[in-house]
Amino acid sequence: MKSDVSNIQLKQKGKVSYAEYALLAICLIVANKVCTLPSVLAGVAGSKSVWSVMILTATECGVLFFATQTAKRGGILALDLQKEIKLPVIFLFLLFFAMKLTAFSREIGTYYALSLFENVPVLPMTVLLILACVLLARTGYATLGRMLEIFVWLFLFVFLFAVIFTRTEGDLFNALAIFSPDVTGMGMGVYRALGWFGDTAIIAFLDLRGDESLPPPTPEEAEKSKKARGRILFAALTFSSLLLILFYALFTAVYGNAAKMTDYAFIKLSAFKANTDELGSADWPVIILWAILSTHYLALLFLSAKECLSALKHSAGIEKGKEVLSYLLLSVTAVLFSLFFLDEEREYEHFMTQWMPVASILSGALTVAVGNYALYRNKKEVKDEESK
Amino acid sequence: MIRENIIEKVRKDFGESSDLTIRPSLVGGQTGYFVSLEGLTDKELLEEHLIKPLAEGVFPPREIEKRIFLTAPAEKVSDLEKAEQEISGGATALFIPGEEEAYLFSVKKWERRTVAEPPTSSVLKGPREGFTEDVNVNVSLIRRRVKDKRLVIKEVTIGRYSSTKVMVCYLSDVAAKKTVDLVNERLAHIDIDGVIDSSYLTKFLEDDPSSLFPQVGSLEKPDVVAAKLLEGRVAILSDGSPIALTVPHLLIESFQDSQDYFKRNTRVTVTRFLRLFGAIIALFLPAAFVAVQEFQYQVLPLKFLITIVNSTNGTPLSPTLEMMLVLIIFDILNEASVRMPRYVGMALSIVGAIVLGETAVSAGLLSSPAVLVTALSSIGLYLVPDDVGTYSILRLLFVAAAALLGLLGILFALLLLVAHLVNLKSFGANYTSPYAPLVNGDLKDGFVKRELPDMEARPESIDNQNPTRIKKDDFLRAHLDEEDPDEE
Repeated sequence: MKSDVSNIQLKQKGKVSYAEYALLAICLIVANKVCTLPSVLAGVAGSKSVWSVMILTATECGVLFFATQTAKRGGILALDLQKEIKLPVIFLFLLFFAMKLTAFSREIGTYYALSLFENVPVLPMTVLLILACVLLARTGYATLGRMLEIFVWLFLFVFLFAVIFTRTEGDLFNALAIFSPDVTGMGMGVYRALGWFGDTAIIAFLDLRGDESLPPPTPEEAEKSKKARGRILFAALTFSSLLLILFYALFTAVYGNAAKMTDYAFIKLSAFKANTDELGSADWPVIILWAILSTHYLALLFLSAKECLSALKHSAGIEKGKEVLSYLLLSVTAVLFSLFFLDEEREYEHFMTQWMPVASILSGALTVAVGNYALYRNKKEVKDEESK
Repeated sequence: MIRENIIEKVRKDFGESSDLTIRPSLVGGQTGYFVSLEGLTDKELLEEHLIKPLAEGVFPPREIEKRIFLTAPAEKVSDLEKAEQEISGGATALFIPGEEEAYLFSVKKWERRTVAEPPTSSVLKGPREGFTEDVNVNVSLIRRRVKDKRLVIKEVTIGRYSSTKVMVCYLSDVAAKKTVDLVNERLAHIDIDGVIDSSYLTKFLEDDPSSLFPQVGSLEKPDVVAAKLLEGRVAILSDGSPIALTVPHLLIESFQDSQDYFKRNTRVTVTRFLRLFGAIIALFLPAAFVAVQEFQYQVLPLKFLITIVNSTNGTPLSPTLEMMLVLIIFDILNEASVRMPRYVGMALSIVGAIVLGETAVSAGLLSSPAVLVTALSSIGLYLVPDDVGTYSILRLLFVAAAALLGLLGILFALLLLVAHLVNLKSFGANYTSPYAPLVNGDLKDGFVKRELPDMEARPESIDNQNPTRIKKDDFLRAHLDEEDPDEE
């Protein structure tokens, strides 16, 4: 079977290896859920936001499973779907990615402009951010995965650093509210926060197949790779889910109920233990890590949207035009849309909590449907091989 | 057929060069002409073992080879062009008018440097021999360390004028055939007037010559080259150069040192992390200093911020300009110290440290933190000596990025740098291996180093034909699992 490919093959051909795939999945699950979402979610679900996040993360992991099935067959674009079905599916994904791009380039750009600088307008910051993300997106999925393989060591270092030097300002009594039987707002929290989820659909655009020009792996290699893939997927899901859940639990422990919350999650999460005056705020290393993750996340969105656009152009018989034009079109759309329709904070929140949940549900459903088809095709191929 | 006027033609072809020596002599009863270049020939050898025995008696030219006392056999050539080429390379030619072919003898001798410790790779522990400018000596230094017929040395000549001997060395059953073929192919296509040093070949061998990062290793020590060959790499030696090139070359090699393999692994691990830390300081400290002064001063704790503000207060230049200026002055001093004669070096250090640094700070032209940051960054730079040039340019770019967008600018620049690095390849090997893509087996010789017995396999990051480095029998396995007798 094509998907039973060894990890060495993937590395040799410059494709996304299993470790890179896991890191991309972690990035997609975690990156955009720790900046604005906590305050939005806490505003609706209060201390129950942890449960809302647990439900949403579990759903995200489910979507990831189906997206992975598609990736194992070469990704949505390589899937042997009928043209009449494939094109609308790709178009819907393009729409979803474009909406996400618009919303998150605005969200991240605003955070940078308002929190990291003084008197810097949001628009130029967003444009610079988009420029950096487009430059990264042009390098491809494998490069983005490999970059995360480098940065994962920085993450570990900062984590170790944080364990040694930081103290949380959390109060366990605040966290106890998580376990109260009152679940008011949890359901609404899930719905409102949906706009920040559904990102693992991007995994369905990866190509985890081997290369037919290389010798096929031995049955032992294929079996080993299959096991490794399972372990890596499980580790990625467990790690990212725990990370998110712990983050929200810590958040609740620090802030208590929603009334105490500030706009951005990082402001009061932690401070250096004992020697605050000497070393400064612990927020900075965390912000840098988040900035790395969010830039990767935006680059992945750009890349996936560009892939959709290229596929649609190709099907329409338009072969001319460099890929940079696709990126330009996407960037201009994102900037103009956020400039005219998401300018106010209220407009943005309305967009994220009213429109994006619908888009996320739709994209999730599509990913599951396509993943099911890929799963069916994989199983059929195995049966055919066995019968032969 | 060699004509009577051949000597005139040779003299003319060499442009009547004054170092062209033509010596007529009797050869088996006929007149022959020994042609060589002054300074490239062993005169004693020529006189005693070539001219004298051939001048005695009468014999046909076919017996010439039997009458000479040389270890290298004589070579016959019928092409005058080739004969002249060999004379240029130090050979002595014998022309006998009326004969079909000329004879070439190897009686070469020229002044050469003795094998000594290379100044850029001196060690406290380990072999001290370094390469010389003579490629044959260099090959022998490698052969002495790898005494096996599977060590293949292939010669190619490159350079239209220099005709430089270039040797490609590899282990036939270890190095990947793909890599060897690629090296040979790239060398075969070099058409250049001359190769003065092996670094001339580097840009023709690299996968991405426009990159700031070297994708071909350069080494001055035969023991290190031998170790690289055993890992499956290919070495390229060039005549006239004491530097051997090795491919594939990975980024991690810049953080490794030959002495690492002669020390305890714990010490080596710490040293490698120090080198990494040094590189990070060298790259990011000046940029971070600019960023926190220009944009994100809130990152600094209040007391620290007050100290910085007090020190920089009254400085006429902006933080960015000041930092750029100090970094450029350092690079100028560095360049001058390399080029100046040694006896002026001390004076230059005094001028650099006291006159420029101290006076500029006292005069209020530069702030003392800026000088301190540059000093720390420059010390860090030299912890990775192979990449000093690369990092000194990059730190200026990072300062520019910090001046534009503060810490965010540094971050964006870092992301683009990492994207470039993970995309780089060296002869099919990923430049950032074993970290991206992650190659678990090779992490044993990464920043955290394991002991040699643990490195059973050759590096997977580079292609090779034979992955087994250490064969362990039951005794060795049992022995290694037991207490290590060398444990300190």
